[in-house]
Order: sequence, then C-alpha cells, then structure tokens
Amino acid sequence: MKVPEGLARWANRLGPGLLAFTVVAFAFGSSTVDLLQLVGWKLRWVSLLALAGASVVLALDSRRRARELRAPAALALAFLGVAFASVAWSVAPRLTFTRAASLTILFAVVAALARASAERPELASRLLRALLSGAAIVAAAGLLVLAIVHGDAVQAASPQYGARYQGLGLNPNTMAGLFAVALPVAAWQAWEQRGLRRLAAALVFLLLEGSIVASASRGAIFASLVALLAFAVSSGASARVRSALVVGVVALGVAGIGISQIPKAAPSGASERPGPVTRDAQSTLPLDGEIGRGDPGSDAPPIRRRLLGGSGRSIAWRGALRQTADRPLGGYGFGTEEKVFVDRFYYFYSNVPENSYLGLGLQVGIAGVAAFGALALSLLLGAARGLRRLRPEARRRSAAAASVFVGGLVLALTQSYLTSVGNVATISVWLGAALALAASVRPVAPADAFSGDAPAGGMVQAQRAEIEPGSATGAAAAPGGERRPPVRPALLCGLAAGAFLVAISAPFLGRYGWERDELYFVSASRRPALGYVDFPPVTAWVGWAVREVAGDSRIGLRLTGLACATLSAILVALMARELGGGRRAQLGAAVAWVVTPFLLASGSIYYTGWFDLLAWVAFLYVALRVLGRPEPRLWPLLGVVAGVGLLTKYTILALLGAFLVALVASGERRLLRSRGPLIGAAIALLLFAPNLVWQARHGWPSLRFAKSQAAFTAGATSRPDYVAQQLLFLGAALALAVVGTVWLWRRPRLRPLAAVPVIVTLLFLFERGQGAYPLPADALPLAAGAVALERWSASRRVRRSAAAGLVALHAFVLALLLPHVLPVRTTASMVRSGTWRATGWRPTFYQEEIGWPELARATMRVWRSLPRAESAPQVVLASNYGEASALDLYWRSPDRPLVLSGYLSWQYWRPAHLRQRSALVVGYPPAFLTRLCSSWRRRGRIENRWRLPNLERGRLIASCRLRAPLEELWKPLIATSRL
Amino acid sequence: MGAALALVLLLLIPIGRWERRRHAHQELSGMREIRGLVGQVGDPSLDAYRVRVGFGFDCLLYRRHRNRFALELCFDGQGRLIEAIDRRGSGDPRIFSLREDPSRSTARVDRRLVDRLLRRLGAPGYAR
Repeated sequence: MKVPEGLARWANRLGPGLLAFTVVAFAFGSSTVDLLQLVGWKLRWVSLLALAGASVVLALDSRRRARELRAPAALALAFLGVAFASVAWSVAPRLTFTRAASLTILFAVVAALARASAERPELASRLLRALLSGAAIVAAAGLLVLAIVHGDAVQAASPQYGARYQGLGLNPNTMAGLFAVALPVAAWQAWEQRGLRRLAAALVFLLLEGSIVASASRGAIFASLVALLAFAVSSGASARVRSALVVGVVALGVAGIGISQIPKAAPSGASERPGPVTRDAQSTLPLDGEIGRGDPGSDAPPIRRRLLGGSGRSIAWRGALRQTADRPLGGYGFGTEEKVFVDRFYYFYSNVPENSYLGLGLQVGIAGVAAFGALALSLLLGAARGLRRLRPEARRRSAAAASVFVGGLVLALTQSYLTSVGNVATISVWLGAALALAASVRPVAPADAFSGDAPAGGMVQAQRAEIEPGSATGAAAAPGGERRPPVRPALLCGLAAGAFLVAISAPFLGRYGWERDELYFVSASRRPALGYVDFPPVTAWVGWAVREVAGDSRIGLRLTGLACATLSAILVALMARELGGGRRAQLGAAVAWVVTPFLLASGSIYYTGWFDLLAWVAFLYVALRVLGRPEPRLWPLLGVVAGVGLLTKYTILALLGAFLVALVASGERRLLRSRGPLIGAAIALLLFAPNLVWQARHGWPSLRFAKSQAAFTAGATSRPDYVAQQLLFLGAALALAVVGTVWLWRRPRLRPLAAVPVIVTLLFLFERGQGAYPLPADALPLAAGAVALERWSASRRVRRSAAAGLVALHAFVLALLLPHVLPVRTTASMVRSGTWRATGWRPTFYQEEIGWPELARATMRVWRSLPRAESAPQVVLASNYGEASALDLYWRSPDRPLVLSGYLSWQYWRPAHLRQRSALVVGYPPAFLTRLCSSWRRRGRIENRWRLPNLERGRLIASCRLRAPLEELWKPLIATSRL
Repeated sequence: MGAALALVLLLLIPIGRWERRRHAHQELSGMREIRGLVGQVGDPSLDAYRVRVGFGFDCLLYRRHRNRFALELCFDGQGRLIEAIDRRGSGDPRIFSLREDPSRSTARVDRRLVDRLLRRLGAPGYAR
C-alpha cells in the first residue's frame, strides 16, 4: 500500500519517540506519586494508540514481504483467538474482551514495528535506544522521587524484609522488571557507542543495575542476569571475549545479589499473635492468610525472606495450579487472573500468583498456555535464525533485542505480567521479541519482481541474490511436471463454492422437523462416549460441541453438514491446484462438487455421512500429495486423517482398503516399503484405539450391527438402484469424474488414486451398500476431470458444446431430485406432492421428519392420565431410538419419568438397576407386548398432524405390567444391537 | 491453516463453557454439602462472622466441638452462597467457592436473614 511520503517520514521520526513516551507513561501510571500516576493513567493509552498509528504507517510503507514473520504472526493470532474465544466462558466477559482487545493492540504495534524494522535496520536500533531512554527516564525519575519524597521511593524495613528501593513503583518489583529487561540494551549501547555516548550508556547501565539491586527484587535480579548472559553468549563476539563477558556478568550478578542482601529486616517485636477472642473471625483467622498459618489461636509463624524462598510463591503456585485444574482446558477467561486467583496463603501476599505462566493457565487453560508456548518458541527460534546470519554489528543489535525477550520470559517466572498490557515491562519485552524476529527476515524482493518486471535498483538485485531457488513463491512442479499454481486462489475458489452452497441452502435450513437419526444423534450428543453401537463417536462429539453453543438447535446442528461440505469444496479446489489446474479448473471443480445433489443435501440433515465425506476427501487430498509431489513426510498426516475418519464412520475402511489394494497392485507399491505407511498406520490405530476399547468392553456390538445393517441395506437397495443412485447423486459431475479417472490413470504416479473410486464403487455394489457410500471418493477424479477439461485442446465451439451438454444434463438431474435433497417445498407442499415418498433410486428422509412432537405429546398425555397407583407404570419404554430420542428431546418437564429403549445405543443409556415392574410402552407391536407383559392395555396411538404414513404412524402407546422386573427382561427381550 | 484454527477455537468454546458449568456444579455440590452440615443458617452453633471480605461478601462461622470456625458459609449481597469452608479435619480446610463467578451459584438464602444474624453477632455496620 502506498503511504504518502510525508506521513511515512513523520512516522519514522516520531515512532521511537512515541515508544519512549509510552514506556514512561505506563511507568508513571504505576507510580506511588499521585500526580505522576494521574498523568500516567491519562496518557498511557493515548500514547499507545499514537504509537500504534505510527507503527501501522511504518508497516504499510514497507514493501518487503516478510515470510519469516508469518508463522509467529499466525501463532499470535491463535493466542489472541483463544483469548477472545474465552469471552464465551469467562467469569467476567467484558473484562476478558477489553484485556484481549488491548493485547491485540499491543501485538499489532510490535508486529507492525517488526515488519517496518525488517526493511529499515536503523529503525530497529532507534527503537531499542528509545526503549532504553524510556527506562532511563523512569530510573532517573525514581532517584528524583528518592531525593524529594524519600518515603515514597523506599519501602521501609519490616520484620520480614529489609528496606527496599522502589523508586517510582508501587512496590519494589514494579519498575525493577522494566530495568531488568532494558539492561541488555544498555550493555549493547555501551559496547556499540563511542566517546561520550558510550559513557552515557555505561551510566545508564549502572543506573538500571543499581536500581534493580537496591530494589532487592529477586526475580528482576535473576532475569537481568539471564538477559545479560544471553546477550553475552549471542553477541557474536570471539570465544575469548564471550568468556570474559560471561565471567563479568556472573561477577556482576554475584555482587548484585550480595548487595541486595545487605539491608536487614527490622527486629521483630512480639511475634504476630492472634487478636483478642472476638466474634470477628477475620481478626483471628484471616481468610487471605489461612493456609500455612497454623492453628487459629496459636502464634503465627514468622516469615523470613531468603534469597531463594520466603515469599510464599511456591505454595501460592500450588494453589493456582489447583484452581487451574478445576477448569483445565479453557481456564476462567483471559484477563481474569486477579479476579479468579484467591490468596489464602499465609506466606504470600499478592492478588495474582506472581508467575505469568501459571497466571495464563488460570486465565486460558492448557489451550492458551499451549498457544502462548508455541508463540514464544517460534519467536525464540526466529530470533536464533536471525542471529546466525547477521553481520557482527547487526548481530549485536539483534542479540540485545532477543535478550530483552529472554529476560522477560525469565522475569515471567516470578511476575504475572506477560500478557497484561498495563504492566510497565510488557511492551518492552514484546518489542524485544519483535525486533529480534525482524532481523531474521531474509531479503525477499517485492511480488512484482517475480512477474518479470525489472528489479527496482541495486538493493533489490542484491536481495534477489540471496533468494533460494524456488523458495520465494512456493511454486513447485505438479505431478505431470506442470507448474503448480499458488494456493490462495484455490482456497478462495473453494470458499466461494462453499459460500454458494450455504447461500442456496440457508433459506431451507431447519425444514421440516427432526429426522429420526438426527434425534438419535442429539440423544447421543447428550451422552458423549467413546463409542456407540451403530456409529463411531465423532458425530456425537460434534453434536455435543454444537449443543454447548447453540443448544438443541436444528439449524445449528445441520450447519455442521454445510461446514463439512464447504471444507470438502476447498479440498476439491486444492486437489485441482495440486494437479496443476488453473483458477477455472479450481473453481469449476469446487462448484461442480457442491452442486451435486449429494452435496446439496448437506444442509438438510445432521448426519454422520457429512463428517465421513470430509474425512474421505481429506484423506484423498493428503494421499494425492503423498503420491503426487511426492511428499512422504505427509504419511503421518494421512494416518491422522484415517484415524479421525475411523472415529467418524466405519465405511472409511472401504476407502483405506481400496487405497491399500490400489497401491499394492500398482507400481507405487515401493512406497509401502518405507517407514511412512507404518507410522501412518500406527497413528491411525492409536487414534482409533479408544473406540476399539469401547467396543471390546461392550462385546463388539458394532459388528453385530454391521451384519444386520448389511442385510437390511441389501434388501432396501437393489443393484440397479445403486447404479441409478450413482448417476443421480452426482449428476453431470459423474461425467467429469469419469474423465478425471482416465486423466489420473494416464499419470503413473497417480494411477492408484484413479483406481480407488472405482474399487470402492464396485465394493459397495457387490456388498449391496447404499448408493451414497462411495460418493466422497469421486471428489478426486472430479477435480482431475476439471483440470483435464481446462487443458482440453479441442476447438472453442466443441468445448462450449460439451459444457452446455453437461450443464443441461445436470439441470435435468436437479429438476428430478432437487426437492428430494433440499427442502425447497413447504411442509404442506411436500406432503401433498408426495415428495416424501422414497423409492429405490430416490431415497428420502423427509418421511421420518414428521410427527415427533405429536408422538411426545401423545405419550405425555397418556402418562399424565394414568392413575398414580403403585401399579402404575414407572418408566417409559420406547421400541426404537427415534421414539426414545423424541421423548428425550421434547419431554423436558420435571415430572418426566425415566425414558428407556433397548434399541442400539439406547440399550446402554440406562441406570444400573431396573427393578420396575410396569412401564408405559411406546411403539411396540401387540405380538411383542404379549411376550413382554403379563397384561397390557392400549392407551393411545401415534398420529401426526399431516396423517403422513411413516414408520411411527399408528403404533401403539400402552401400559404394560411386565412379566418380570425390567432388568431381567432387558437382555433377553429388549436390548438389541441389530436393525 | 486459518480454517483449522477457527475450527479449533470454535470447538474450544463449548469445551470452555462445559468446564465452567462443571466447575460451578462441583463447587455448588460441595457448598451444599457444607450447608447441609450446618443445618439451619441461624443454627445455635453460629459463633462468629466476617464482614466485607474479598469483593465485599459476608460470612457466618459455626462451632463444632472446640473449633469455633469449623464450618463457614459466605454470602454475597443477594444472599447467594458463594463460599463454604469445612475446617473440621486436620490439615488444610476443604474449600468450595464460586467467589469469582457468583452468578453461577443457585444456592441462596434470604439475605435479610443473614443481615439479622450478623446484627445479632454484633458485626460492625450491622449492629443496632
């Protein structure tokens, strides 16, 4: 972006000054001097925003692309994402939001300065000097306070502590942190400058070091020591100089520690005795000092501060960890540390745990700590990378910046501050990290330099000389030897296709009602487990997650299908890109994929199939990269996808089997001899293991179910119907897939992938599976077909005719099927038109979406009408999961009895003991009731308001006196794992 | 990458909310247990108080044998039970608390009763 030259010049001039001003303003805001505090409070955010403005201008004025900054930027975004997401579960959402927003501003400032400094090394130097100037002003102001208002600058000696210098700070630790992280910059300047400037830098160094030592802040002393050591080691000096520097730093540290121990604690008078016995418990047993104090009524033990202990931090840290363990994954919400941490510890005095990492754990749990750890690690690695390639002067500057960050990370072990923007040291630490990272940016020419334009001057020429071949654009050869197009347009093509699908599905989301299986999945999502009888757990887990956010929202749950379809469209576009397809091929493939009748149904039902679809397409995409590029390092990722797929739907076993067979049968079987496939298989098995354990513990019910389902599907779908479904579910995209299969087959490396869809389609044909089962495997040949069409060398007229023919064919198929896959009709119209009727070639699920509320209401009515005698039914027993799940969903009143069913997974969702002798039974046929009940009486029938003949309509609701206690009848009569 | 991140963050939301609920449930269960041990809030064993501790809540402490502070119940201004402590055993006390998130507490008493009891105990600011 072009920034007016004058504005950029001003930003360049003012930026460092604003930084120094910001450091001072934040320090004033934490001052004991009221006037300074008032000024600081008013100015600090204004100065930060002004700095943000200048930084953004400087960043926008930078033309260099800085790929090295991308990973840390992405990780910073991830961390901020966790911080903002935690608003949803925070104990103080507004506080969390404002703290996350202020950290975002801080990160934006340092990121912008890093980007700008990557191009202007002298800016990095000026910024570091500005940081040092800010710290020096704060330290000097502390001395001034000492001279004028001695009492404000010194914390008086107490029986626990000797007198401690605090300068401007609210306590001795406040400013010492800032001085500790600024110290390596002072050392760098003392080294770098000459004459009077060197003298000034040395004086500043002494001022900062002296302030730290006088504060006796042990955390700051250790942090400054480590920061200086880091600077000495990474400065790039010769081994001899480095050794001398290390010795000097250690000597300085020892001297500093020794001096800090000189002030002696005030002589203790009488030990702290409990107050006179009153009814005010706070005077005898303070709530904020209870733990570690001893028995109430006895003398409180004396607190002695030592070099490595006595502050009570360890016990407070244990307390913070215990609190974190209560909400381990997400914590209590970003920025809530002070609100959440409760100081109950006798030896500890603070409203935060005095450890940034534990504080982060409290705020954002393991998720946030992991994101933060990844960010810090990437910054350290980036800084280290930069240090290795810099010339000595630049290296010392970068080493100073990196040492600021290292010192900050060490300081964070004893101070809670790293993500609190209001703390005086925070901005300095993150700026150090950013400037160190900026030094790692390799000179890369602007984008237009690669488009064939002449490079802009000698500097760019010199930069281009450093560029590694092929690394600048990320371009590499596609499987056919073609150049692979950039990835971003492919992502956008997939997203556009997904957005199109969402747009056409959105008006009809939620129609017509809950489908039988949907109800079952909702019930499963209320009971998250490692396994279920007829499906692996991912669908229920996703349902659980959605319900946690959106409640029992049909639209919310059905959106998961659309999300899967959209992601699969992105993957299809990426497949086309991987095969060398241009934007037309990418967009064409993605759009052709989402307008298949199969995908158009993705927003119509919440169903395992959509997660399975995504797993299949993801597997094929990764497999394409493994075989096509070839990229053997992705075998473990392939294992991850397979493992997740196995936890999603067992039908992916067909894909895995087909892939293996195709590999073995092709020339690519050599790939199986490497370690990659074994590692991938091990990962898949590991991920799948929890479900296997569940199966083993429950006697492998899914095997019994699979056997019965195979028989059921075989009876429901004839082979001609199966073939017809392939044609109808894909429409004209099938033609594209056929072309793509041939195209893939002609490329030896990709031949196994051409065979996979064919194998799975034939497998399900012979196994008499449902027509939809193998369809996800067609995503890859469809993408290949789009690439083939894009490269078709036929005349324009022929190509247009072919395209028109395909569109016409697809329009015809959609005209036939659209109302059956997308609920475009109103309920009344759907019922009247007979759209709900399924046939062999035209399956539909609308029929089973009608009547569930009526079923629940009828059952409730009957239940409430029954006499409350001892012999009255004690439970409701439903014949299938649809009925049980509908009752589970719609009957939420407190008087609801226990709802049970023995059907599939419902058989496990029951109390351990079932001693009931009577039940209200729903949906069972009379013949079964005579076996189950010693006597039964019809109390009602299931009806729906549309009188639509579905599986439930007309079934019985009956009261039943059981032949034996329910638990004795459960296994032999009621529980079943078969369809 | 961005989509994966967004997905993870989206998944994190229900997990975080679930943790919040579960934690509140656990703390509430513990507080209710101690509330059950106390019996009536105005039980004769009521022997001490704290006022305006933490963010400004008040506590009632109950004697058990020789331990004057054996059981403690803390209420916020709306009468919600936000902290309960059992000091009957040896070692660290058992503490159940929702002081960081008092709105999650569904255990409450009539705040006027707490005020009356504090007045009876002579708590400053409550005494007649």
